[in-house]
Amino acid sequence: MSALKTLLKDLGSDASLEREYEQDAEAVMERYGLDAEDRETLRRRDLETLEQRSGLRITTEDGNKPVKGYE
Amino acid sequence: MSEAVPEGALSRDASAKGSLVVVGTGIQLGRHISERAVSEIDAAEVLFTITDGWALEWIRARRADVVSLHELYATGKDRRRTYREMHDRILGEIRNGRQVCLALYGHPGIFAEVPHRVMEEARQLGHRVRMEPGVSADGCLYADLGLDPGKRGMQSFEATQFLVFDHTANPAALLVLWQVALAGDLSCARFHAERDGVQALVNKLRRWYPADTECILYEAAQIPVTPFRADRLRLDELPDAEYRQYTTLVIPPAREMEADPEGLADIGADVQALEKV
Ligand SMILES: C[S@@+](CC[C@H](N)C(=O)[O-])C[C@H]1O[C@@H](n2cnc3c(N)ncnc32)[C@H](O)[C@@H]1O
Repeated sequence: MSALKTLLKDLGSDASLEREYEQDAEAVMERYGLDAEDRETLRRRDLETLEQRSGLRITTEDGNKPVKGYE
Repeated sequence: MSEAVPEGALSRDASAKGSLVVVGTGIQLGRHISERAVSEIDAAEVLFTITDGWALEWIRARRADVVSLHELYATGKDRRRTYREMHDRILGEIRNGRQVCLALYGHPGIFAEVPHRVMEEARQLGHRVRMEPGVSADGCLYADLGLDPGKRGMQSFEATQFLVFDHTANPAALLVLWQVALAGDLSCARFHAERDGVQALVNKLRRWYPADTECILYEAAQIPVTPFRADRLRLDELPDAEYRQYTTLVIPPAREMEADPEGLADIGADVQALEKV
């Protein structure tokens, strides 16, 4: 998994990591080795981009419509 | 002494060993999945998933041989055909005697036709089947919105079904409408919201609710650093609101509960007894 996906997954499961992130997001992002673009996306909490870069939204070939796995 | 084994019995036994366990990965990856679900994913002989790309990648890192059934979806393709294809793939492996795990988003038994149908059929064929519960969208809703379904009762419907069948709403209870973005889509082939569909839903809701009833468009956070969505708006504003495929419409209790004298009389009580409840 990419550094971003791993960090997001860990932030979901690890309470201390999330606390640390709330206090010093930059240090956590540094440790996880996020690239500049992902850091900026996280700082802005840009949901659209996060959804795309995390793989949460899958795009179909025909029509570019996002489709969720469960629909 | 060995018993005579009828011809074909061995292969029948082998195929009856095929089993199915269905697990949920929850709404937020990493946060919601149970220890047991992870271990079922690790232990299965054949692993199928119907999840988003993020969960799939995480699962693939544990199990390179995971088979994603998500690819069977396509815009314009009838979802019922997609479900049939998924069903056949899963059942085929169970009948081949394999221990199959199917991992799905959220709670795997909520609005999830494929697992319920495959489980039923596999059970009838004599296979062992089981479902492990997961964290669902409504589970997140009670937590995020502070709405207790036990307080006033709760009704829960798929939005299009609510619209086109003779369901009735009880405005004294909490109402949850799922797949609101797909309201009015009888073709089962659409993946986006259409104003007319939502308007039709609002028209039906107006039978029980005033136009200014407070509604909540709810989206549980699927990513940890982002907040959940809880946009509060009036019922008559819904047609112009923004929807995503995973938006759930929530209408909190809109009026007080009223006493049922008949029910009270049956237990030898009257309305005054309710003052103490
Ligand atoms: C086919 S159902 C699947 C439900 C899923 N199995 C579960 O356990 O929540 C899809 C609907 O669930 C609801 N849903 C799914 N994800 C959601 C989320 N993150 N927030 C709010 N509602 C969600 C929406 O109503 C969506 O249209």
